[in-house]
Amino acid sequence: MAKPEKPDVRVIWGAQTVEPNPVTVEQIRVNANKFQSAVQRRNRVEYAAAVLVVAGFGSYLWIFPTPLMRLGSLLIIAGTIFIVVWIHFRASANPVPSQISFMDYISRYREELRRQQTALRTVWLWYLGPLVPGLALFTIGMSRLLEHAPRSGHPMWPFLVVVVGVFVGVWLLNLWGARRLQRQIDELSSLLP
Amino acid sequence: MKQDDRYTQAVASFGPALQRLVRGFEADADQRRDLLQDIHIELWRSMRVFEEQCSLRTWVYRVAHNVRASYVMRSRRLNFAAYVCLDELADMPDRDNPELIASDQQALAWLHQTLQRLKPPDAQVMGLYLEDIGAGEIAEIVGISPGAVATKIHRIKTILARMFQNGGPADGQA
Repeated sequence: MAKPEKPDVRVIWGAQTVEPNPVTVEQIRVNANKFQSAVQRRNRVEYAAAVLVVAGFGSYLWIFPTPLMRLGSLLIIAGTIFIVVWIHFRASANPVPSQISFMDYISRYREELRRQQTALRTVWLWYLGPLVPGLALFTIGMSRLLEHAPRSGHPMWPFLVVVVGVFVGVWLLNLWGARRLQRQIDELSSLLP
Repeated sequence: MKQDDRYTQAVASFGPALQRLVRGFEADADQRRDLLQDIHIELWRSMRVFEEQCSLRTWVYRVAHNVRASYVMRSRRLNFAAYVCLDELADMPDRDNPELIASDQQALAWLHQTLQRLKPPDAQVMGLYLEDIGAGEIAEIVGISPGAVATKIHRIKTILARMFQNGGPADGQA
């Protein structure tokens, strides 16, 4: 007896049971807005932190009497504004459009990761560096102020240790992040010709 | 046409295909649900800029495959060295005994496992071939030349023929 003809495996594939559309347009809109709100909230937190720094050191312009501390505060404010502008234009996430072909998507995704990696590797240049002159002047000014204060001694070194520790920590964390990105970049490169 | 209308039209036409795609690429049920939701959100978003630059089907599949790639990268499961390409799959001994592929369920299970172990471009070509999409459109979706797609489809057909040679569901063994 002749065997029946085998169906194309594509027929089996296409005959899989599927559920009715699991989400409505309204749910999609709500979820998309939730995600957008989370991004906006994160941005607002970053800008609020910058405003706090500017407001804090802005008040020091009046509070502290020495020119060094005032100049230091001014430079810290300038450095903070520089960082915010840099993040906004150079280091913020730049989503890759999803409607391009897969290989183009992988290629552009890799470029985006490389851009972020460069930002992490050069964090000393655009994030830490701009704050150093202001912090140095402010610290020297504070040190001189305390030298003239009664019974003060030299209490600045713990402050310096904390500041240097935070700077080194931020720098190392960013280098670690850059190394993790390299792994993803290598994986994506393995898919590209 | 408004964004919502375009999205509704896309889901009405290709919603079942998206479910099959997600089922084929993700073994874990929770991840399948999350991925499908991510695809729907991105598809809805992308419809703001859809001006028939390509067919709606090409657009939908591009979005789905790219969201899936992004999902894998974000979930830190990125290790393409663990995946195999079609050539390697074709050269592998048949550890999955073709005699055992005797029902539609077993055939689907094998297809899902195979899609999940193939490197992304090869898996995509196979998934799109299973959806009965032509080589030209697959090339547009994946972003490789039609010649390369034709070569991969030839490989896929060879592998499928080998795997289903003895135990195809219509052989009456199911």
